[in-house]
Amino acid sequence: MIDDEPSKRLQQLLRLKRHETPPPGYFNEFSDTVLDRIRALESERAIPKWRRWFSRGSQSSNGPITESGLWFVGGWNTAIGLSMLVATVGGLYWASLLTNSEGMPDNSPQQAARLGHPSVVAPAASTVGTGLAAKSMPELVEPRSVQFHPVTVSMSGSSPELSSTNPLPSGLFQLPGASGGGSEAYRVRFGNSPR
Amino acid sequence: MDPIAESTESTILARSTPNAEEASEAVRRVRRAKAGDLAAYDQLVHQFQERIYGLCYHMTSNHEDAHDLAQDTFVKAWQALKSFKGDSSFYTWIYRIAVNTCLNHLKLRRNRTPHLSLNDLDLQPENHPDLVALVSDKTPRREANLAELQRRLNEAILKLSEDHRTVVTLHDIQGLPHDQIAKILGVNPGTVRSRLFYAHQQLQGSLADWVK
Repeated sequence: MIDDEPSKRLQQLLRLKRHETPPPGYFNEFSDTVLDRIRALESERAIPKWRRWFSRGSQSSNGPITESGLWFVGGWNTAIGLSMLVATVGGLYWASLLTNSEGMPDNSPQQAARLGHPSVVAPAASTVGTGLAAKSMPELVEPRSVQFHPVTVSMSGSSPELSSTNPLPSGLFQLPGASGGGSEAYRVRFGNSPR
Repeated sequence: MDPIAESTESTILARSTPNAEEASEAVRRVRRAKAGDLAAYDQLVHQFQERIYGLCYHMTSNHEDAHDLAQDTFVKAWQALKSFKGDSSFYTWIYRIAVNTCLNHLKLRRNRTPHLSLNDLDLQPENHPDLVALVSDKTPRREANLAELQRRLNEAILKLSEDHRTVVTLHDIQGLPHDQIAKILGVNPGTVRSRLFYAHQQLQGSLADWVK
């Protein structure tokens, strides 16, 4: 294919490159280096992936490496891993705290209602007109149920008599000084209720 | 060709292409190495290290790169040795790994200015008859020294495309026959000849002062 003189001279030139060889003794070490790399790869392959990951992180940060070359504190991969672990544990702990204060069965509103707790029963009995009881905020809820009982006042003699279906014991009611006959409206005050 | 030159060429070619005995020895070593025998693989490395290094060096014209690439080639070959079924010879197989390793390296470093480190290499061509002929009175540039010749030669080779550089390296420098190169590259022998033809044309243009 290439028979002319320039082609032959070109091939002579290219053959000169065969004499470009590395310095004497270069190949004495060559195979040893190859085998060292292979041994390192083989030993690395024997290590689980996740430990290799930490090990690489340690080496990339130029930090100290233990004899096994696997663990030390200070590598960036280790730092990231530990941060993620702390964040996860912290998140779980926080979630458990929230669950205990709000959502645990023994403290649930339904359970409290079954047990007749006043702070929960009251809003259910007196929701009319307040609007606040609809909110589940215990501090804003009227702590007692409000029930009305008809009171009948009758005059017999000079002192009025008061009767009611209210089961409260007598003596809790006081009539202000009534004068004159007939049926009058009296303000009835329970003993501890505000005026 | 000069008898001395012919002798030198035959020595180099014998080193480039393994004979039957060497090939059968390689088969035995490969069999042991596949079973995990690292000592057998060490012998394989010794058997092929100069050729693989030479290929990497002539593809990159850089000693440091050639060192790394040749080592990478043997490490990759060890890792892939279990997948070597023996359809081709180990020689062809490891050459293929070396060529691919070099081509990948060249693609990654395409924008990097090639660094010629010929000073690191032991070039003693002053005793070679080809060179004596080239720097004799037949050459147009008698005053040129060897370093200039080396520099021009490497620059011309580095200007070739990677495909053309590969065939020139394997055929003209390392002395592999066309069909062997075709097996290594996974192309037809005709493709190898075609690439060589165009590569030679380009090199003749680049080295016109030396080849006319």
